[in-house]
Amino acid sequence: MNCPTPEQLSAFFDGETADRASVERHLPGCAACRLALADLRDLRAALAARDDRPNGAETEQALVQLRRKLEPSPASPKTRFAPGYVGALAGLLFLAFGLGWFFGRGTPPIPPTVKNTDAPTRPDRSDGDFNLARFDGGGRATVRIVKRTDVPATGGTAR
Amino acid sequence: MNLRLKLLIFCLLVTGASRARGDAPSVPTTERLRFVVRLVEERAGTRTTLGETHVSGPNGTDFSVTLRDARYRLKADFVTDRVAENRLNFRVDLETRRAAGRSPRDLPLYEEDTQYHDLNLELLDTVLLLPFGDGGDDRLTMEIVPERLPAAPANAPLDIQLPKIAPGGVFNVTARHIPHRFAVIAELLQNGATVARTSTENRFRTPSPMVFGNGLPSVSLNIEDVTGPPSERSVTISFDATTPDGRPLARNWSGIGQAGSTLSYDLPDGLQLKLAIMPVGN
Repeated sequence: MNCPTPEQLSAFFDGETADRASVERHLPGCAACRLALADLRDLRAALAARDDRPNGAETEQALVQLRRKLEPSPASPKTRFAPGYVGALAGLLFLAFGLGWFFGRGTPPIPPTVKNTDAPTRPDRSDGDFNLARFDGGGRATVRIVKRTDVPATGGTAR
Repeated sequence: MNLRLKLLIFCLLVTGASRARGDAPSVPTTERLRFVVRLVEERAGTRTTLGETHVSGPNGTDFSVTLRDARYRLKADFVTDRVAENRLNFRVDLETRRAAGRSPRDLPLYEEDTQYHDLNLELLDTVLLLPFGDGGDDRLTMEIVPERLPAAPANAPLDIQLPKIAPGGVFNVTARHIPHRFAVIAELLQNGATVARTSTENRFRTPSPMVFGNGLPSVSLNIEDVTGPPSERSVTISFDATTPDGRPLARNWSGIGQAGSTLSYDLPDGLQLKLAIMPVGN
């Protein structure tokens, strides 16, 4: 058989292919497919080793896309369209765009928003000579977590 | 009027009514988070909020905070991931630069520091950033509190609100939403022939090892930045390559390339490393 597609190989790996026997016959003679299968195995092992991955299937999908980009796809046979088909296709496209325009009018793109809710008032202290030097005792910056039970009340801000 | 005609009129009326109300087709929604960023002065037990900014966006929204005046600059990049219902992961790249006088040739001298923190916290915990350390009676703190917001349309943009502007513009916040997970395929060649391939999933700004197998070099890959729109993502990477006996082949080598393209590096010992990287999800 020819090399299975990445999707077929992934299905084989997952035990979901109907034609398992032909892939099994193909693998011993094809280093590229064995490597691709090893990639899948490595990836599955890496995913299994981590617990904070929201969706391993998405990663596999991205890997399939990546492989498609890396490996040039075989040239597809040329297709000729009869003039009648071209007209029908144009009509369908026109209809699809028309329907899309009609039903899509309700969801215009949402522009980004930056709201300055403090804009009407000046900052509440004279800022002309504000500098950070009075806080600077020469210490090194640090970051830490304060658990919510330890947080002092800040007042003035709705949560 | 027969039944078909009545049905047609009913359908037309329903369509017209829904258009008049401006009903939109249902749009998928996603949960959002808000990061409340406060710059607070603490003096003799009194707290004064100098500036406050709210950044909201979907899970995986990143933000950068800058604090600066003529002598001091702090830049903190927060890469955030919601790893469970109430748990978040913050990866913080912190850079500070402080004026430290003049050189004998009257050039400005600076004291610079870079830090990296990997923090796991719960919603409503506070990340406390102390730009000048912990000491002193007159202390400046930056508090970051993540909060959960109601779900919003998945295409809703990031939102930045400025309830209180810090004096002198010393404090500002920017935000962005970029992919945080990447599928990576790495190939190792020796004298032009492939000797090993491996694939992993890497997290943004988290150096991850890529192991090719026994007796072969290993690579630690860091995806440092992602730029450009989704259709034209560029990925900036850096990596170290080390032989099995610990000899460095490459230290902090870096590059930039379009997502899905191959980055090739000629390593010592006749080796070549090829890397292809693709964002996962958005």
